[in-house]
Amino acid sequence: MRYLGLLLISLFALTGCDSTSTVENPADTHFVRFYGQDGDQTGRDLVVLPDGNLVLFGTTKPTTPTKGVQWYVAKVDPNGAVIWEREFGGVNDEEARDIELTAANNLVLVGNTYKTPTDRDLMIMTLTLDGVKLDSNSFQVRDSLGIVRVGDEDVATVTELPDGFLISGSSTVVNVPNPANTHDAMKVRVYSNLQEYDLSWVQLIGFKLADDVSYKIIPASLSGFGSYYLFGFTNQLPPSQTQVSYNFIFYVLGSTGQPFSDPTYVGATSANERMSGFAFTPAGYLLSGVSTNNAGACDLYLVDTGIPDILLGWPFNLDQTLSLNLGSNLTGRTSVMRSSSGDYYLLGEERSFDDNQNWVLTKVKNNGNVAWTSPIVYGGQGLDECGAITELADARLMIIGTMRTGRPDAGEYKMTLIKVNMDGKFE
Amino acid sequence: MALRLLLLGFLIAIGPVTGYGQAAPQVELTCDGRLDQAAQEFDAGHFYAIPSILGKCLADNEYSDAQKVRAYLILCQVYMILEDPISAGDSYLRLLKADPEFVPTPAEHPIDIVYLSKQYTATPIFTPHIRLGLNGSLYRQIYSLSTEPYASTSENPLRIGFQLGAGLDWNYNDNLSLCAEVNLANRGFSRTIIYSGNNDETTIQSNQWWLDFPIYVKYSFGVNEQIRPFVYAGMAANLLLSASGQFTYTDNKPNGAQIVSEGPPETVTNQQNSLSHSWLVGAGIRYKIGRNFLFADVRYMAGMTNLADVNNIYYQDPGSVDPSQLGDPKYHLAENITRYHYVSDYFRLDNVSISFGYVKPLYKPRKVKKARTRSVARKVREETKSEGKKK
Repeated sequence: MRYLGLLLISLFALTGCDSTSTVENPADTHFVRFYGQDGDQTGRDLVVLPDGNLVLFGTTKPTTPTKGVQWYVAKVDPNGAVIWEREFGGVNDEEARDIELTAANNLVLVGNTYKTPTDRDLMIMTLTLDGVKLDSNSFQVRDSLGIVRVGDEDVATVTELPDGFLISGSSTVVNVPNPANTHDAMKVRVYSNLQEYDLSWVQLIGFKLADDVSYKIIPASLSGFGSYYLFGFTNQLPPSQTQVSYNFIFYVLGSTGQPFSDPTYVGATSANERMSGFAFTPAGYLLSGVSTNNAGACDLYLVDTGIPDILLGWPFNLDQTLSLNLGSNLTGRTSVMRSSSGDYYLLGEERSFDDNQNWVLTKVKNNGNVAWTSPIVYGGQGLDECGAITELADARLMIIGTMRTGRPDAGEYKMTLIKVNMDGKFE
Repeated sequence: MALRLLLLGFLIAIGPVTGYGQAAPQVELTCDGRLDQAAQEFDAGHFYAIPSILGKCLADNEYSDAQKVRAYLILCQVYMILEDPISAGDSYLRLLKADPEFVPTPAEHPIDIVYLSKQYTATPIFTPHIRLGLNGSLYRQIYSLSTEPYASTSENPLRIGFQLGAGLDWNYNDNLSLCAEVNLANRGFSRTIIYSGNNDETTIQSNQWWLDFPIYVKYSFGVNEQIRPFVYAGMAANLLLSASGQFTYTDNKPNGAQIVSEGPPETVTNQQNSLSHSWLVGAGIRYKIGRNFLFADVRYMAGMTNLADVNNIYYQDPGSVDPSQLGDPKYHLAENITRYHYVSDYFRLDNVSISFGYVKPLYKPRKVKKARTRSVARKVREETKSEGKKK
């Protein structure tokens, strides 16, 4: 009996009680958080600050709005706790597109502002890291003659230059008006005070009978001046193809924004590839988008451009449609990044079951092989839209987007931030 | 032993006619009468006839348990006087079979019987019981987790469950037992969480089925013949059979309107650890009914394990994910996250229960290996001393 008593005491001693001193706080490593108070909030992009905090960018629309849809910006700590949250915008509805950290440790944000349901102007704003507005501007694009024209601008991304910013996107203002020429690629340049560049910079480029969109424009030289790479997509028929479809397209732009080279096309003849993601790699650029085949079925499309050679052009280390079977009728949003381990993460959306749209994340090795047997799906009932993905210093992933929460038919849309491990799991 | 039984049989057979000069009964006595006669013969010092007087009625099982106790008590004394300790012991064992709870005291019984009793015991080696009762769980938060980035307040009203089970005590002696049980328990908790950012509210009614395997050391003692309190302490292994949650999310609008999201209970078994352990303490009272007992038992079982499965609290139960959906079913975001804004805390559950049950001791009269007679001598000395003082 005394041995049994000893056994019981030993068991008790060996099996300690789980407490905060023995269990790690999971909020340090993984979470799902819904941001915004009353109404709907969307999540579009995020930026990691040098101190590890993050700034989230999206929109907010209260249940009973006194103004239009506003930009919603929230600074959060690595555990997702809100440090500050702000709303910006005017009486019109605004759309959020891209946020970047500037060299001066400020934030630059771009998006659209609706003047009418069919007329959006581009909108740009700079903020301090405390959320204080430095400058803002919104304007229409100029045509090839330098005349400001009424059209619908849709911003994609912003890039910082030594003297300001370069905004890419598309506009219904086209250099050569024609019913088949629906959009020209937009490349608006502004100074650091967000005032438009002078007329020497051409803001639109596009084919005469095509739908052209620029997604990202970056300096081609280390100085940031001189020439630029424009990455976008178009349905211009490439010289090597006989069937019209959307393909990725790359230009080299000169110092005035005019094309400096013939465009390079990437994409399958039998599918439409529309670009919606961009990331730097040590040896080139990662481009992502959605590939839609003739039957409307969507999949993720990934291109690793490699470093362009003056004579041979782009080497294209990777040019691949992933066979994930994402369904159809997707918004086309993607986000791509190269991880510290050298693999690529590709975020997109899927609508493969019950007409329910979710985020989808997959990992691709740098040889093009899909690293995961199954992609990871995030979302609930209703329309969930992905935003962007980034990697933290500890190799964990932060993903922003929008999820419909609460009652499936009447619940609020919430800016959603997910922190997961490098396998995309809450562990 | 066989020889003594033979002798007893012989005495029973010839007793009525060769009673050392005692006259044979002229009238056939009843067994009650024989018992009285045996007592009279004992008081008269006619010891040799007594076994034969009682023998037939005992052999024919004509006596009640109380009568058997009386008869075997007489026989024990007879055999001790006749210096037949083996037959005395045998009679005492039979007495214990008739009343396993019989305990002679120096005040009420001859000291020889008290000494003899110390060589025998009827303490059950195993005592099974069944139990049934109600319980309430206390929610012990380790880490508060939330889908909301804002502060929140929570309430944890008590949720009543029930349990039923069975157990077995292994009795080391009259006081100490090692006990093991298997209990099926319905437990759970209620939580209401109010988020300060938007004043929205999530409620969960958690419903869990557990198999508990407590093992503990029990100390029992007797207040009197009928009431036996006990206290105990030990540990329990707990196996989660299933867990579900009835969730509600209320979106409180600034204008007072509400959008309530609710649905059928969600299976969240995958979000909890299936194995945990607890320590437990308890106390209760046994009340004697015949040879058996009814009992009431109050128990506090403190969970020591984080019940949240740290790798699964964000995921839907794979069984409820349509396999034709894209992605690994094990890694689909749980419905309680998106629809009800609820993610499980890291938590433990303590449990307070009250049980009522029935104990059936499996008495086993037997000779003890080492008689404990010191206490008898001490008692006798104390009594003698106190009587001397009175005089």
